[in-house]
Amino acid sequence: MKIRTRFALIIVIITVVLAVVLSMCNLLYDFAQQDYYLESADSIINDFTKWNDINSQRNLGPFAERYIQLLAKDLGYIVRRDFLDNRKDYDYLTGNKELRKMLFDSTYINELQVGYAALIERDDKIILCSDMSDEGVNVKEWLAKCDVILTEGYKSLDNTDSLNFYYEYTSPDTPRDPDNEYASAFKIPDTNLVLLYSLSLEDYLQPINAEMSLKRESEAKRIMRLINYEFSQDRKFSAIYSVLSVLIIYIFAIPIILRFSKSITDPIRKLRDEVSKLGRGQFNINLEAKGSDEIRDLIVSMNYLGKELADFTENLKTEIMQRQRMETEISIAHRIQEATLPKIGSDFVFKGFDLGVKLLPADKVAGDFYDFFYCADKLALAIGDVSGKGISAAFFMAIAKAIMHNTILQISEPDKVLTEVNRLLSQRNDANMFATVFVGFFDTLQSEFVFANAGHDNVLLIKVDGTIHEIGEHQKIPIGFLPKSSYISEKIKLEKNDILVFYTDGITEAHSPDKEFFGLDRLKSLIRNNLNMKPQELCDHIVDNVDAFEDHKFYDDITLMIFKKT
Amino acid sequence: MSAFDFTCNEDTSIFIFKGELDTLACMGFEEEVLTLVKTHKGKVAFDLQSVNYISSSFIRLCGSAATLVGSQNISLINLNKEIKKNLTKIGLASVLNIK
Repeated sequence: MKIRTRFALIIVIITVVLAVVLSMCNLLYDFAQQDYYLESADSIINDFTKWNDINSQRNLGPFAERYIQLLAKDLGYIVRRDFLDNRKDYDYLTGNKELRKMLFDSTYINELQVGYAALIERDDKIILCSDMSDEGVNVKEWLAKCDVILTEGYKSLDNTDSLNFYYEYTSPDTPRDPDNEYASAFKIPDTNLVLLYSLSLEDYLQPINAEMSLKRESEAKRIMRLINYEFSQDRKFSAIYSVLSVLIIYIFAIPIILRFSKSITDPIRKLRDEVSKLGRGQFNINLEAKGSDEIRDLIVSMNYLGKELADFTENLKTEIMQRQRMETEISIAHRIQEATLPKIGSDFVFKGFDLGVKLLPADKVAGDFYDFFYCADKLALAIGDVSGKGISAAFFMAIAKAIMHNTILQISEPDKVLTEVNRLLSQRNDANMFATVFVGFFDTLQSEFVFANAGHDNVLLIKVDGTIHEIGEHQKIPIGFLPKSSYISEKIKLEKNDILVFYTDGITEAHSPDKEFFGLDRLKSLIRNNLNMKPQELCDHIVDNVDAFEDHKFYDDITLMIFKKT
Repeated sequence: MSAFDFTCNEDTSIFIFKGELDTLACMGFEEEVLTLVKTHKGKVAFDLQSVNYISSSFIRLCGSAATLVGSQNISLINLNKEIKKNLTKIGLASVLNIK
């Protein structure tokens, strides 16, 4: 996914998440605020109702008090005028249904009994009462059950014609607010009668309060509806506002994001193009370092990398050219070296013998050498192995072989040849190079072989009967190692079909991938089993076996020279 | 990591080699060995107890060391039978003071 797309996606996700989170917070706050307003409204309405009840009681209470005062007074006069008519017969009043009904009805307002009325004969009994169960009850007994204030108030009628007071209504069946009971007592003039009225202000005002309560509920519902409506509207606007905010953010933010991401991706794109040039081998990149710090660092690094790669490639080219030149020179050296080694060509004359040779260098040039050539009637044979490998060994080998060849041409005794060659090679031999050499002369007339050994592997002499002897165990040091070394010569008589095998340690010390040495015994066995082969065939056969044994990886030069007396 | 261990006791520098001392291995440590030989002078002993093969390159290294300190001051010690036999065969047993 492209960086720009990623940026855009990230911003969209962040914006949506932010919008959702903010909307949720706003919604939660909105609900909390709504609850608060509803509770507050409810509280205010309840408080207002209580206050209103109290207020109505305070404002309307005096009318109620006045009402019962007047009622008591009026009824008192009605009793005296209409029912007593100057008669002192209170028994007439006792059980008077019409008066009782009047008393009873007077306690009702709006079909609700709100008061208590009693016609009392002072210091005697209750004559009539809105509560019939109290009729005939002795006043003293009745007062004993009443509130102290009522009792005291009743007594104080001795000094006044009428009395108005609040008292505590103690009935357990209908508990009331103490202050809500108002009483008015009126002494009916010229009689011993008292008309007592009591009124529950609460009951009296109940219809008004009931209507107010209904209005309050209605108002409360209206306010709640209003609050809920207001908040739901507010939430709708919030949702629309959130969506619009997000859209506005997108409208303004997306171009900014795209521009911002472009400022990042453009240098990267350029860098990518330049890097692809690197892949095509165009290392000279020089990008302008701009963009963020990281991008600038990257560009500087890439410029540096390009320069380094350019330098490295240039060096590599030089190196390759040098290597190619060296390879060429080594190839030339190889050809020169090969040319210095004698070949058994068609023009070579075998004088009573057959010969086979094989030299396989481990590298292009060898440190091994062999030589054979005629000196009058003698065939000079030499094989050598220079210490080390590669160019240095090949160089030393070329010198050693050349000196030896010339020395042999002048001296025909092997020990003296080696002594002289050693003397010459030891001079100025600062690198301490040395070579093991086996040199011998085969007298073609006498069939004698005279030889000397300078630290080289013994030569194998295979007799006709298959027995193998090692010759040249002289324990003499290699040439070039010490300036003053002497060597010894040895002479043997060769018979028909006797074989001499000259070899270097590249054969016996050849090792398999399992680090097993080819060894002298394996070489001897190979020779013994192939005595019928011609010398060159045997050479090739042995080298092929060594090659296979080493799994076709030569670790050292291999040289083999096989001489057969015919 | 060096291909050999080097210790110096009084007047003798002892080089302890391990494994196969073929041409490649010898090329790796030849210069270092000769520098140490030059630096410490005195007698030099090449300990071949843990060596199972030496190449002509190692013999050349011995010759170079002998040139630096004198052939009487160099010795090869703890050689296995095969190596001793090969060195004797090429006449170097006495030259390199094999012990």
